[in-house]
Amino acid sequence: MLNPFERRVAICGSMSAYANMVTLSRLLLREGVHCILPASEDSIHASLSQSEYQEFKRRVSFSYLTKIRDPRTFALLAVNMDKHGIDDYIGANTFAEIAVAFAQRKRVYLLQDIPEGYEDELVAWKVVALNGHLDGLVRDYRNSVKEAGLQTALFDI
Amino acid sequence: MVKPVASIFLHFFDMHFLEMKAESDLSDRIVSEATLATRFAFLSASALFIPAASFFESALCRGILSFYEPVFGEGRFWLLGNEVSLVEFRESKLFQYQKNSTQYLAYSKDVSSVVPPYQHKSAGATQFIKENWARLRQTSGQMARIYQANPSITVAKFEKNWDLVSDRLGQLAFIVDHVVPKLFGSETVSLSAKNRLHHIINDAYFRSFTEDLRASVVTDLVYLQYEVTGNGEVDVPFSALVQSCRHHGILEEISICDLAHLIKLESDPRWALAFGDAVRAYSRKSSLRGKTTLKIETLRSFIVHGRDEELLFKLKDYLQNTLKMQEPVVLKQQPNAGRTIIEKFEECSEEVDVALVLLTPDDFGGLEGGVGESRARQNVIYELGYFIGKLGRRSGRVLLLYKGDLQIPSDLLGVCYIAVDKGISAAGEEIRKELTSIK
Repeated sequence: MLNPFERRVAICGSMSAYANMVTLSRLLLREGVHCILPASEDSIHASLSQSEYQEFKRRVSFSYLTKIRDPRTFALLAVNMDKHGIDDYIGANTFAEIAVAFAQRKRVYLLQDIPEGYEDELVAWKVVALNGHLDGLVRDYRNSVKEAGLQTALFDI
Repeated sequence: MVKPVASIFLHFFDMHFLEMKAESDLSDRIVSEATLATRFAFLSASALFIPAASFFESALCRGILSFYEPVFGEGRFWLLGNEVSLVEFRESKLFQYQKNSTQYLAYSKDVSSVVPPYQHKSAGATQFIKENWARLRQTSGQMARIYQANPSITVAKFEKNWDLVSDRLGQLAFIVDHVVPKLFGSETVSLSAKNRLHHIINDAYFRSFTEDLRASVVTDLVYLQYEVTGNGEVDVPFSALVQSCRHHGILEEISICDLAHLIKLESDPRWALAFGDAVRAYSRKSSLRGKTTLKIETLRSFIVHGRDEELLFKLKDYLQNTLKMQEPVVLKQQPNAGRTIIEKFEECSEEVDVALVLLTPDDFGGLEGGVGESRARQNVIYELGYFIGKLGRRSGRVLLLYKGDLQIPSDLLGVCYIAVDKGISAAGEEIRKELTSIK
């Protein structure tokens, strides 16, 4: 039986927004929301050959996808800061992570708004745009913990 | 030795920028990225510029630059400040900080033996930021995006505050932490609003250097990533360089070698190849994002042609010598290397950004029993179709240059047609315009 208090939010996004991801995880923890972050991988790995580097990237991506799919992961929060002159940017990796979370029926939140480029898919997947405010995510998380707690209690009787 | 870049402004050493990026968990990543970015910059450019304040206030900056101390006297590294001399610059800073502050200590310590030479920067960064801030009020797009990210007050109040920010700041530095309360009347705003403000202010601050110096920047960083473009010929794309240096087998060498070896690498052909590949790859990537136009000099072109050799020669000459593009690919001038024609064509067209198709009346034909017409050679039509499929009909990357009265494929809506009856030079401006608009 899963402990409802082990529920967590997986944060994802471009490595260029990593500092923001760390800040957000601290803010959320202060509100009682547990978070996991992708590993801050070395962007250089000078000693690796092309194929070794590809293998390393594959391993890192796969490892985080496994964490997103984990039953303890309640939701995915994509930190979609503006990038490359594009508002609310979502890169290919982040989009793939969102798709995996959607396929696993996890809730998906975007820190900012829904970017134009992926509007059709993200709206259809009921992705929630937080527009910079975390309250909605915190409320949903608390409710889910409460519900899961009630169900556990019922089951344990 | 001729370097691909004249000068680079090392923006990532700026203190406020580093504060924004440097979460404690990331310090080792940031050090290794800034170290390699500085090595790439050293290999690429004749002169590197650093804000003098960054040098004195940032241990990261001093630590990385200490590697280059032996060449400080050779005009490769320059500190920049608004005062006329380094002595005055340091003195002015001593007035700005408390005696026990780390900044005061940094400026009062005697470090003269290991400081790069100093250059006076004419344009003041703060003035530049203020002017840019006022300009944004007129264009409103970025201003609206900041408001949308934190609509905590009315639009009218927000606009009024925007107009008053510069005055209200007085002697305070024009930085995000100072601007937020003046703009929103509160210390707390959403992360998105804060980030957009950082972008506006940092962008103007960095541009005050790059425009003044006509310098390039190191762009495409990862943990230190920031939307910044230089004002030189070409920027140095970090991530693309990491990739191409790895491909050419020199990434580890560049990352760990001593200064003497790094200087040798400046003339290493592997570095030249890696740099060229990286710039091209980055341009293509940027163009795919649809936000920037490709620099015409970086475009790789392919000329499809028929029997009109003179026209082919003139077009090639115009692209290479007038527009200063790279040498266009002309299939028959490429070695066969044991390949079939189709293999050769596919391989040679692989990394092409734009195809110029010369349609000249080389053949004569038509429907059986019908009236014959002049038409282009069939291989030209085949290659035209191939490039439309590869580069996209509406991409503007297939230019159809036609001459004389000939049967032209009529259903190619979206492909650009240019008549070259009066020669390539006469159509030159039209060709240039199409090439410069390629995204």
